[in-house]
Amino acid sequence: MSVRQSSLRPSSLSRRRFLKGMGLAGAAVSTAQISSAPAEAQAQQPLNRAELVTELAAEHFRIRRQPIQWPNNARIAVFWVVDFEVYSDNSNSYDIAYHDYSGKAGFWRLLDLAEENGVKFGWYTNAIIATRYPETLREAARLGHEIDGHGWSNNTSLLVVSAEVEREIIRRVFADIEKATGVRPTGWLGSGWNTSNRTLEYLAEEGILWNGDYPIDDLPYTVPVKGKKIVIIPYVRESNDIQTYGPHRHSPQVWLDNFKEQFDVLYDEGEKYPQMVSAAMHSWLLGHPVGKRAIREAIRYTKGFPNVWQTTENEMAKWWLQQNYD
Amino acid sequence: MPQITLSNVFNTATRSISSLDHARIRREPIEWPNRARVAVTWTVILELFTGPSTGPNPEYTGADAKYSLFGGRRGVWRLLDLLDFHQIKGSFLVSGYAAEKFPAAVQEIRRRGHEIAGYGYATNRYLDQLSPTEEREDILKTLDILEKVSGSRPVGWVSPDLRPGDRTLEVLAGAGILWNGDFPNDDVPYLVRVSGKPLVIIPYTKESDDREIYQRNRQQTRVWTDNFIDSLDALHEEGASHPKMLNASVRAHLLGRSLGKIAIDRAIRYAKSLPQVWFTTRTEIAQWWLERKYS
Repeated sequence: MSVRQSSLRPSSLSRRRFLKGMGLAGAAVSTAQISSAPAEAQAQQPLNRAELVTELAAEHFRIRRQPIQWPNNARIAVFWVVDFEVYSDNSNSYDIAYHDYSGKAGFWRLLDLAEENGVKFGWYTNAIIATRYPETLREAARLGHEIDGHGWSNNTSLLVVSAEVEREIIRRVFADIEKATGVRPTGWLGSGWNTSNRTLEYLAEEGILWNGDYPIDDLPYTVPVKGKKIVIIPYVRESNDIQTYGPHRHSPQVWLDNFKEQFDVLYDEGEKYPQMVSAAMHSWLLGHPVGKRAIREAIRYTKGFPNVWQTTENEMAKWWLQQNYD
Repeated sequence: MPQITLSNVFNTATRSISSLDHARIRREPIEWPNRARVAVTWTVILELFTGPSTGPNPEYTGADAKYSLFGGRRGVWRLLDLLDFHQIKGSFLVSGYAAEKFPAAVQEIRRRGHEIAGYGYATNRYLDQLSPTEEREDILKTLDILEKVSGSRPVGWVSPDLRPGDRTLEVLAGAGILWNGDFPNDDVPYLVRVSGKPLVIIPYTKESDDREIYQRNRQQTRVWTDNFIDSLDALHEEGASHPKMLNASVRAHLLGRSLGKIAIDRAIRYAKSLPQVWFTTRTEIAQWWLERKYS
């Protein structure tokens, strides 16, 4: 498959939406960042190497109707993820400082919340953190949390760089995190859950077990990539704080209510048809004090039910492969 | 922004605003006066715009620029009365242009004993979008105007919309500034050295700021208050072992309108209902930080 250039030059408005869709920044920040781009850069055709729906492998369209089983016949698998994000120097001063909150404060609060409630988080980690805040990764690894790949810095989408740069970013993410923690990640969520038409291939070359970039089902499924089965664990955008608290500044209570409502429905369905749900928090959004009550309540709510599997994506992917689910 | 290539994609800590001084993590606790668990600052922004912002994606329109006149004419007076009623001192961030146009308001802020810090010449002039010369001139001109109008020279600075330029800290250190509030990156202050001079960085809390919640997203004003209360509860809990700080911020032309008064009043009353909360200003925090020789 060739690397395509977009035939459309996005208008400023669609560019703004595009950046927001990638989860690159809070409300006004991304537009301000663009407005500082020099006129020449604006005139260039921006790269857009997004994987097209028409190019997706057949497995992404396969419908699962038959129920699966979770360990101990759990009705529902619950996993907690943190978008652990920091910006590189190719950004404006506000974005760099606002995302530095992740390493200086947000990480520590979220880690304490997980430990206080006896759960392990999956940390979708920008590998820049291995350079800028290495002690956070060492601490998460020491406590047995899962560290997953999530791009090198969150202001760099894999879609707007060349295939060569994308390949190198992916290589560096695994290498930098492994170097900082001693553990090589086996899972990946792209910044803005974006994939180019090469991403899965590159990730398979780095030995991943699972990818989270396809928010298209309530349950995992597998796709063959380079002769290997990769487990796709769908991301749940509905309980992601960047959809409610981030750009729209809905109260963290809205995030909590949305999560609980999904949990209730899936727990009910899970009696006959085991399900899965996740909650996602950004270290620089609900990692602030403002999010603490909502996160604590979300975790405690799920712990009040029997037959709930508190897990992580690595454990789920391993289970999926062991059971030989398709 | 430059095109992303292999030569720049992995850059971090190459700029003054991203240097590793800003990335230092404080794990050891600090102490506040009287063993307070949380220091709270009440920030009022009295800002003006000289026009819409420039660039391909203007952040502010001409209508936004006009909207801001409410602050000096009416909003700031309402907020001054509310602070007096509760007998608390605020940290006022004032644009140079606002001080030129509403000198009586700025003098009244001073007369009632509140702190005044610089907030750029006008909010449509982001310092990181100006030339190095303009960046420097905007800062120095604003400090001069505020000194002339209010009678005392500010010792603190926040850049419009927290967008410092790469030379801002250097200019501030050269101008004798004690603290800067451009970095929303922590729950406690930290010290950086710029051109050999100490500068206390006092993080700004965007999570309880009226521009994000009320103006840009038109959430109810009670969302602003609820966010402040949730934040304060969390920090008050953590502050038992690791004292922290929190900022509540409103603009004179936004929550300074009648619609905002009940929300602000509720936030103040809630903070007053908790023990061990230090109602303070950024300058007092900076002085405390330097006295205690915290890093």
